[in-house]
Amino acid sequence: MIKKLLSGNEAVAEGALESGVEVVTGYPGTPSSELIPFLADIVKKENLKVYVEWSVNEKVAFDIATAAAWSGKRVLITMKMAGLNVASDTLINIANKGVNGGMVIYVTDDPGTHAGCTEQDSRFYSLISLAPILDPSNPMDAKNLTKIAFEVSEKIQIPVILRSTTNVSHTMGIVECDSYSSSLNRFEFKKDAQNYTTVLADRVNQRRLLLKKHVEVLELFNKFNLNQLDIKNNFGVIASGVSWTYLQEIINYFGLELSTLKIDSENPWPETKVRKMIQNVNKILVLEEQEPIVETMLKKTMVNTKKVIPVLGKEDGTLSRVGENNLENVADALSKLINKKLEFEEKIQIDINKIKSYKLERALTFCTGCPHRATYYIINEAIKKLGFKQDEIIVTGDIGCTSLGVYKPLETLWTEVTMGASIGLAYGFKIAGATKPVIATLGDSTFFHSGIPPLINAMQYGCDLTVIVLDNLWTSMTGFQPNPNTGLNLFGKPSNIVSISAITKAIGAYTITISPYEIEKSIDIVAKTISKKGLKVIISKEECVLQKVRHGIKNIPYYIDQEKCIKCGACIKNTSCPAIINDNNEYFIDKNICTGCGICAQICPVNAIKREEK
Amino acid sequence: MIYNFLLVGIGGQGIITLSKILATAAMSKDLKVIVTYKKGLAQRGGSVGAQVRIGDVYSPLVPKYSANSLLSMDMNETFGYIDYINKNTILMINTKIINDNTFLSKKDKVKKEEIKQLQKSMNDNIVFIDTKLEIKQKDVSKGANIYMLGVLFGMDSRINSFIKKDDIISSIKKNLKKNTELNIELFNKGIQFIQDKQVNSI
Repeated sequence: MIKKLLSGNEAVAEGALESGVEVVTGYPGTPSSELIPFLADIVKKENLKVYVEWSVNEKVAFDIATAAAWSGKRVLITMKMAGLNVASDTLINIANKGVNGGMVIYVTDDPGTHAGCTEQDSRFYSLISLAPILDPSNPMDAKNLTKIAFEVSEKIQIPVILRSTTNVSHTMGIVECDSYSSSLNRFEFKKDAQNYTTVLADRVNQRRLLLKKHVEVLELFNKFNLNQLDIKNNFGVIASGVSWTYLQEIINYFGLELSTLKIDSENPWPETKVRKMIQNVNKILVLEEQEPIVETMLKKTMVNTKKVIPVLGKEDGTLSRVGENNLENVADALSKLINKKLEFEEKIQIDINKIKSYKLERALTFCTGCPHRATYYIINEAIKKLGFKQDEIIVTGDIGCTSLGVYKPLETLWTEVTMGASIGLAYGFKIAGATKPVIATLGDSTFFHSGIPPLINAMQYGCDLTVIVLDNLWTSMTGFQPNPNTGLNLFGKPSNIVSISAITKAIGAYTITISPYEIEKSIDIVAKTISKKGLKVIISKEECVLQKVRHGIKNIPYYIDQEKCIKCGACIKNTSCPAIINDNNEYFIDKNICTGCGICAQICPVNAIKREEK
Repeated sequence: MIYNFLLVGIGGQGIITLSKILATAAMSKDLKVIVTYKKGLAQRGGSVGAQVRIGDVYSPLVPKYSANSLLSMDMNETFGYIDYINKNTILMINTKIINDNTFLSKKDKVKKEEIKQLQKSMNDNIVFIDTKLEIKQKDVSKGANIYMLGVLFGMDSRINSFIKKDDIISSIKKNLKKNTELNIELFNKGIQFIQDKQVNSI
């Protein structure tokens, strides 16, 4: 046993390797993205026989892993909450059909939406699919529950959802690690269309069997000592996920005595333990993030036990259904439960809000030298060149770095919803009656993930639409994962390149490629392309500058010729490039961070921005 | 025992590295440690915050008004964490501000005075350091974080009760494979800074 400092995501990877996982697939998405690279690093270093890939999207990842699980292999699929929506069709089917090798679906929720996603409680996917769920509270817990998930999944032949949240996935804690399993399962997939097809299957019986499996899962969970109950007095607290750690902190800090039940699994529901809790206490506080699922189940159990006692939770307003829990709101809720004020430290005698207001907020903007900055500038200028105002031309956006085009100073984008939605929305605006040009923008990874079907749809019904793919060769925002366009797998080994232009041409769209760093020329091409009839695709191709710098490709930086500079500020106003500094109306370029993209030099009206001498 | 470190700054200033150095040092003493990072949209040059909790801890988050020390690599970022300090918190602020053209408003430049108002309510436990000024002779653009860590270690003797100077030095060696000797020198210089200034350490 070795102690390691690991994040929740990394701990799940450790747990999977200790369980003998053989196939790992997923699509990047905050806060889940770190799992696969961490696992791949170990696989490479230890020369383990594990297949790992970033798949084109979550549904594809799920389908690939399903076949491996049906063949007896242990599989892990990773995604963020939005990804499970994409893969949910497969999940619900596979829960009914069952698996042979253990299958664990790792999904991360983001209460408080720190990663910029819509709040979603993925525990509902367990309720809808009947796949059992495990809900870790910290990294050590995450590793243990991963191992239990594999054991239970393989034994009962049912996929298991392991659901984490940001404060578990991104928290680093001490994890006790064992050696990696080397016992691998043999490939074996027998033809059995009665089970593996939906048309031939006895679907009603599959459903019955699934419900029966739930009883067996709960028995196993009890054997693994999950959902621990500790009766001490009349005050009951039921807690799940990271809220359990807040409860432990407060109990220890204030030396409290409470009866507690840790919910490791909301489904199957530990009915017997909950009943025991209800019988032994007079009041119960429920601590969980997002939706009141545990609270609702608790109330159902109360009705069954015919002992209804007060419940503090989300429905009475003690805690919120929005945002995340923290020590303060959990301490307040506990204060209400035990009628005693719990305060960690005395407030300092200052006006906190006044001092907080001193903070100057920083604008979100593209990285220094990002080609997307250039592309959005080009789109804005092309719109002007066609005689339109920026507020007249609908430009839809998509997920990833490209979404930063919504911020100042470019403010190109009107919408940004889900993966690939830019094209479907743009087409929708046209058929709904937009008479002026409509432009859709999306990144390369997003295009592969969900951008192709709406493009085919637009082609089938015919429509004047311009789609701009901002192709930077990487899935950058989530940490530079390779995609079908990169030419590398996640071990850095060469893989086939899937050409975006070959796809768009095959669909039948007029396709042209631009280099975003060539500003004037590109404005011209974009303006002309927008004016064309029919479905057009412009591929704005330039590698992510951060990746280029990592590969050692760094262009010569620029400087501002102070004698020529007329101090108009056009360079900053149009780009908000972090490398340009305005020091009391004197403009400078920080040559340490300038990547030499040259966008500002092309924007400067008096050509005062020049390349440094070599 | 519980000790809560808050480390704040801008992407690229070495906040994550500092958190790893402290966590590794704590682990070498067999202490429990939990590290959490401030979450947000991935953006280079954006604000970065780390919470390093050592001792009898369970929660990844530091309770409000409960930071034992706040090490800030960027004065502007300090304001955002002011509800974590109490009258015994050691506040360590780098006065050098970077990337100021990405500020949304430029009406006022960040001023020391605004934080100095705090000084009375905080038993004078505030140190301002211009790392650019203090370590410029070495021409080290990076390493300011390690220098600041040295200042904090020199200032707050409470840390010495659970992690010794040598533990941090061996942790620097483990975590920084490049410029290791230089970083150790900067750590020592940070400790020296406090001794020279004769600031009342606690």
